[in-house]
Amino acid sequence: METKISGTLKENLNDTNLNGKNIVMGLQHTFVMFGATILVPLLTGLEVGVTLFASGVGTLLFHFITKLKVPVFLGSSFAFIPPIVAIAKTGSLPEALEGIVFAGLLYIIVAVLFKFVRVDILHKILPPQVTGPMIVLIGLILAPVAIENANGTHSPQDIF
Amino acid sequence: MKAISITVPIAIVTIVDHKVDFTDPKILITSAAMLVLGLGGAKFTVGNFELSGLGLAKIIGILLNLIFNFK
Repeated sequence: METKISGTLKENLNDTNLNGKNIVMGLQHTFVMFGATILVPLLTGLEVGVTLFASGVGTLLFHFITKLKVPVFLGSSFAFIPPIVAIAKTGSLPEALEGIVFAGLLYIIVAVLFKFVRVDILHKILPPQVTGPMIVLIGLILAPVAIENANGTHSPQDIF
Repeated sequence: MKAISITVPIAIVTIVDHKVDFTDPKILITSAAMLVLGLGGAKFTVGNFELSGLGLAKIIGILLNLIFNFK
């Protein structure tokens, strides 16, 4: 697959010119990443500062391990919102935090498994004719949510 | 929610880049089943357990693909 991103992160990091384009692009990225990152703690009632700190540490760790190959910021995961809200309703928020720690451990176990699983097996289970419609579905199922969010008929809490 | 707006075009880029042949009946059936189950609001219920929407479409898609390409 040909890459659509211009230049590697290393090249982009070396591009420290303070020209108009770089400033606008940086501001745009900050807006998108900030909104998406603090939405999760706002919805679940967790601490916003801790979330920003953790995603910062996570991003630095990611770039250290992958040797600056992928130019991304790692924000908070939206997949955790429904379970955290459900656990906080029936139990308490600390119990939900305990669940997050064990979900993290599960992530590490899966990551270790992928060290041993051959990549072509994964491509057999998830070829592009399956992943393509999957991504189309994600976009089309969420399309009404985007319109509701944009015109304000829904508060963010109603999504989940 | 800005990400939603670019999701579908990105998916089309994925499909085009991998040159997926939708005239192949296996691929046609897999993708058609996934799209209809996901968007049509199909539900699969066993007792307390309910699978619907995206989750159902993903699992059916993976299963159909494995069945069609079973050797």
